[in-house]
Amino acid sequence: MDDDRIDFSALDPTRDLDRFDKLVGSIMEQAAEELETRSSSNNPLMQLVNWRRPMLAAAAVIAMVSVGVLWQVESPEVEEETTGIAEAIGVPDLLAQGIRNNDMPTTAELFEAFQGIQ
Amino acid sequence: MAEEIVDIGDASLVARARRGESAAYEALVRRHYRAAYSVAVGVVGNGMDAEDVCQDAFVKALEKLEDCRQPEKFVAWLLQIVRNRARNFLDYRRVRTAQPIDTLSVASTLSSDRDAERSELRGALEEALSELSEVQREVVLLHDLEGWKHREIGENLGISDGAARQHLFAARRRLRELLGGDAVKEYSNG
Repeated sequence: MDDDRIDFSALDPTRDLDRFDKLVGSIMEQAAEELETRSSSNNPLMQLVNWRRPMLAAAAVIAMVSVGVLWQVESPEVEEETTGIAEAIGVPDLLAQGIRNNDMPTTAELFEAFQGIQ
Repeated sequence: MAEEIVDIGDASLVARARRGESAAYEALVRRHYRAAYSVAVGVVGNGMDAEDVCQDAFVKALEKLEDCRQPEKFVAWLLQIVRNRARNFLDYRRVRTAQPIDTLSVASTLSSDRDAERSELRGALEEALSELSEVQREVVLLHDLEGWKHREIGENLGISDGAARQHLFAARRRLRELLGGDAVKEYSNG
């Protein structure tokens, strides 16, 4: 023990226990709101609720971007693929165009096309 | 409930307080109130204002608890907040959200001669402390009121052990000059 110690017990806030309890109580009263917020945000259900809004916003953005990309990419590919398949199986250009345009070829056109293959 | 967690370390209490556990934060408040108060008195110079500062600082510390990167050193982090809030207090002479302590129905009203005597001595101590530098006040209060070692004080104030020792020596000598040895001794015996 240090004999030169100054006695500050008159200043000691914990000396009067009732008063100290009230000091602590006053702090805890002011801290209650923050503690409540922390406690509820720690609840898994509340975490889910808190995440709901940003998750929905993110999903909406992803959906919009995806639709845009698909719309831009898909159309030319389908056409190229159709042309590609027609060419691959040896369908003459004239017939392939008719199929794409949904036009039924005439007998003369069919004859002409198959003659071209032979 | 606070009694049950009295032996738990600061790091665990901080983790629990972060999750909103009231008892954990109350334990931290009770454990470190006197150190916080010592620093606050060191800056603002009197007990009443120091209590307001402590109240404000503890609430602020809870709000900023995620910023405490070394929870095992919670007290060092807390005392820095107390110091900052106390300096702000001096600047503005009021604390934004603190409930003034004199509005509490505290049994601090002078109900007896003993209380009157204590209040008188408290005033004398505060007056004498006001004659010291801020660092001297912090050192002498952390050592003689809170019971910290020179090393702990040095680490907390960012000074060497030797410097802490010198400040303590100078502070005590000045306080004895101002108070007179008898004043302190009389109270100790009472």
